[in-house]
Amino acid sequence: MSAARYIVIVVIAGLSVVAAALGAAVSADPAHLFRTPAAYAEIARLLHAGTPVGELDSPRHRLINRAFIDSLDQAPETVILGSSRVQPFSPAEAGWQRSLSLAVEGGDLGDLLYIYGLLRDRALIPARTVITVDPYIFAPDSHLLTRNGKHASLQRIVGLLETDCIEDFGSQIPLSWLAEVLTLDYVLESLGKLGEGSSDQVRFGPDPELRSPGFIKRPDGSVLFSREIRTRSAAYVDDYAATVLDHPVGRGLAFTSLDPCKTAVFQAFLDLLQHDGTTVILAMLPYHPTAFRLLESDRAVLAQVDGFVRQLAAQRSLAVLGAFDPGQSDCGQTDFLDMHHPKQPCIERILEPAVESGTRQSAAAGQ
Amino acid sequence: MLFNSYEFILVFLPITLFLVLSLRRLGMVSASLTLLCGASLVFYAVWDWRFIGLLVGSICINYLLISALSARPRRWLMWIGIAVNLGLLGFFKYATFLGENFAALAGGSFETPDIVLPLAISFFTLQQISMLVDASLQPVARPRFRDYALYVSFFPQLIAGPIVRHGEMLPQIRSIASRIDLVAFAMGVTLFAMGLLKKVALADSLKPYADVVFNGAEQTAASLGFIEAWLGALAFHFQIYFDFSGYSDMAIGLALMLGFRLPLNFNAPYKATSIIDFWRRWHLTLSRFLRDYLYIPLGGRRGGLGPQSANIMLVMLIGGLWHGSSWNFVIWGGLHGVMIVANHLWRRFSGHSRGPSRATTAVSVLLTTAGVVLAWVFFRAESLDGSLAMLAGMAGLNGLGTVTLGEPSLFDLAQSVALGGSALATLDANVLLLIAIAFAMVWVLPASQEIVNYDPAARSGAALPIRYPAATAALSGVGLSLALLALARPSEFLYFQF
Repeated sequence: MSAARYIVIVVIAGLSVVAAALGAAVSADPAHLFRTPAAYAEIARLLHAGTPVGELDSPRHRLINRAFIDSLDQAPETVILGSSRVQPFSPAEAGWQRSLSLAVEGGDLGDLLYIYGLLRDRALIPARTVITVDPYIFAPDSHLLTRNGKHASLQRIVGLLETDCIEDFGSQIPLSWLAEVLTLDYVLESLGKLGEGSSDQVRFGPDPELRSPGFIKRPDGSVLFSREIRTRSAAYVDDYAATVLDHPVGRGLAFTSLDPCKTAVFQAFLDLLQHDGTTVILAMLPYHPTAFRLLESDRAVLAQVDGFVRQLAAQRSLAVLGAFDPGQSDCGQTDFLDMHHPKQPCIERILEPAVESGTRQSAAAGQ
Repeated sequence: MLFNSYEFILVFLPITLFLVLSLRRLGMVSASLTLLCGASLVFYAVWDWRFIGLLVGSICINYLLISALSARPRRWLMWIGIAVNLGLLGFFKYATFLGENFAALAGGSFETPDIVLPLAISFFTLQQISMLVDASLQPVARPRFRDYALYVSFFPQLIAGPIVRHGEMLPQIRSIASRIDLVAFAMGVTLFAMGLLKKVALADSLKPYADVVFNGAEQTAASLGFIEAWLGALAFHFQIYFDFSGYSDMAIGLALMLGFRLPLNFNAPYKATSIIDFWRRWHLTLSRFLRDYLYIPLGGRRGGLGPQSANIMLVMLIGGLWHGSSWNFVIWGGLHGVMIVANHLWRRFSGHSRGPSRATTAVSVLLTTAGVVLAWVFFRAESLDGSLAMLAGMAGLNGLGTVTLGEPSLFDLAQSVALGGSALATLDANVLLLIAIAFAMVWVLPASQEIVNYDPAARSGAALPIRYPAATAALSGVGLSLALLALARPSEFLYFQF
C-alpha cells in the first residue's frame, strides 16, 4: 500500500468516527440539546398545578428548572440557589409565600449563574435571592457542569459579569453545543441511550402519596429524597458519615485554597444581583457533626470559605446565615439525612431570618 | 501548549505542518527550518512566555561555548559550560530544596523563595551539556546558529524529551530534503495516534484512582487497606508508563511528520526480566545520558564490584534527584540503585548455565514488576509519611480494606460531588478492568515502534514498513478521533514537571 493511500484511510476512518458520534448524539440527544421533550413541560405544568412529581432521574433537575422557569408568569418572591444540600428545604412548608427552590444536585458556580440567568433572561428577577454557598464552588480544579443546553444562557450572563477573570472562567464553558457533543463521554452516553432503545421518554408521574422510591420534585421546586434516605435513623447516619469519611479513598474536599478566579466571578455575580435590585442573602449549611469532626484536614479551607463569604457580605451589607460548623448552626445529630444534607427543620432554623427580613421588606414596600 | 489539547492538534500542528512542508516542497528548505525553529519558540512561549528569554539565553550562551570548543577543544571551557547549565538548573530547581535542608541541619528556618521551575529546563540542560562534553572531547563541526537553536528547541522533544544528541539531530537538520517523506508522515500519524490514545484512554483514566489513593495515604496514614493500596500503586505504575511512553510516541510521531527521526525512549519496559533489563528499556535517552556522561566517567565497571556498585548508587541517586527536588525522588533513585547492585551480585554469584525457562522468565518479570511498583510509591507520594502509609497498606498491615465493587450510585456521586469532586469514593469495577487491560497491553502487545517498524537510524524506503497497513490505518484514524473526543479536559503529562 502506498503511503498516500494509507493517510487517506486514516482520514476517512477518523472522519467516520466523528460523523458517527454526531449522528449518535443527535439521534439519542441525552442532554436534550436538540429536542426538549414535552415531558419536561408537562412536569412543569404539574408542579405549577401544585402536584408533586415522582420517579425522576436526579440529573434532570436542570431541565425541569428550565421548563419551570419558562412557564412562570410572574417573578417569585424568593428564589433559593444552591446544591443538593439545600434541595430538601421546602419554602412552602416553611411558610414562605411565592418562593421557589431552584437548587440542583452538584450545583456549581456555573449553575448559580445559569439559573439566575434564566430568570434574568425572562425578566423574572426575584425580590430576594438566597444563595447557599457550598465550599467546593471555589475549588480550583472543579469544572463547570455544562449539561442540558446551558451554554447560551451561561455565556450570556457570564458576559455581563465585570471581572478580569472572566476569560479564564468563560474558557471553562464549552463554546457551543458542538463542543459538548463532540466528547467521548457524550458519545458513550448517546450510544448507551440508543442501546436502551428508549427515545425521549422520561419516567415521571404525579405522586401525591409519595410512594416513589426515587426523588420527588415538589411544586415549590424542592426535592424530597428517596424513602430509603429519609427514613435513615440518626445512628445509621452517624455511622454512615463516619464510615465514608474515615475511608481514605472517599474523604475530603480535595482542595486547600480558593481559586482566585472563581472567587472573583462570585463577587461579580453578587454585584450583578445587587445591580438588578434583588436582595441577596448568603447562607452556609452545616455538615453533620461527625462529618465535621472527621473533616479535620478540611477545616482550614472551610474557614477560608466562611471568612470569604462574611467578608463579601460585610462589604456589600448582605445578610449571612448559618455556618458549616454544626455547632454554630443549631443543628444536631438528628438533623441530617447523611453527612452533609441537613433536614428541613435544620435548614428552616437557619434560613428563618431570611423570610423574616423579606417579610419586613415586603411589608415596607407595601406601605 | 499540550500535545493532547485542541489548540495543539487542531490549530498549532496543522498550521505548522502546512507551512513547514509547503516551504520545503517549494524548495525553500532553509526558510522551512527557520520557520520550524520559530514555531518551536512560539510553542514554548504559549506555555509560559516569561521563560522564553531563559531558553533563548541558554541556547545563545551554549552556542557560543560550543563554537569556541569546536574551534579548539578545551576542558576548562567545558567545565564553565557545565557550571553555567547546572547553575541555572540548580537555581530554578534545587534552591528551595537545598535551602530548606541546610536550614534544617543548622536548626534554623528558611523562607521559601518564590521560584517557578521553567518548563523543560531539565531536558534542554542535559541536551546542551551532552554537546558541550562531546565538543570538548572530540572535534565537532560548528553548527549554524539556526540549526543549533532548532536542535535544542525542536518542539516535539523540547518539553519532555527524548533527550536527543547532537549527532542524531544536527546531521538530519543539515541534510533535510525538499521532498516530503510521505512514508515517514504515515508512520508519524500512526505513532501520534497511539501515543494520544495511551495518554487519554489509559493514563488519564487511571490517574483519578491513583490520585485518590495516594492523596488518601497522605491524609490518613493508618487506614489504607491492602487491596486499595495495591490497586492505587498499580494504577500509578501504569499511569506513568502510558503517560510518558504516550508522550514519547507522540513526540517521535510529530518529528516523523516533520521529516525527522528521534531516538526511542521506551522499549516495552514492563516486559523486563530484571531491574538491569528495565533500565535498558525505560527512559532510554536519560539512561543513555547517565551512562555516558556520569557512570562511565566515574569509572563504570572498572575496579571490580565495589567501585562499580558505588558508581551505580551515585548515578541512580543523581538520576532520582534529576526528577525533582525532594527526598522521595532520591529514595526512589536509591532503591533502584540498590536493586541494580543486587541484580549484578545475583548475576555474578548465581551463574548462567542455560537459557531461562518460561517459568523463570515469568517469575523474573513478576519480581521486576513488584520491585518497580514498590519504588514508584516513593516517586508518586508527596511525602515520606505518605510513602510509608502506602507501603504499610501494601504490606497488609491495615487489613484488606473496605473496598466495595460496583458502580457508584447516583446518590453516592452526588454526595462525592458535594464533598468536592472526589467521585471515586466507591471503587468501581472499571479500575480493575483498566489494570487488567494495562497488564495485557504491556505484557502481550508489541511496543509502538514495533507496530510501525520504526527504526530511528534508518531512512525511509519507498514502501510502508507497516504490517497490515489497511487495518493499522483504519485503527489509527478511529483511535485518533476517539482520543480527540476524549480531550474535553486535557491533563498535563507527568514528565513536564521534571
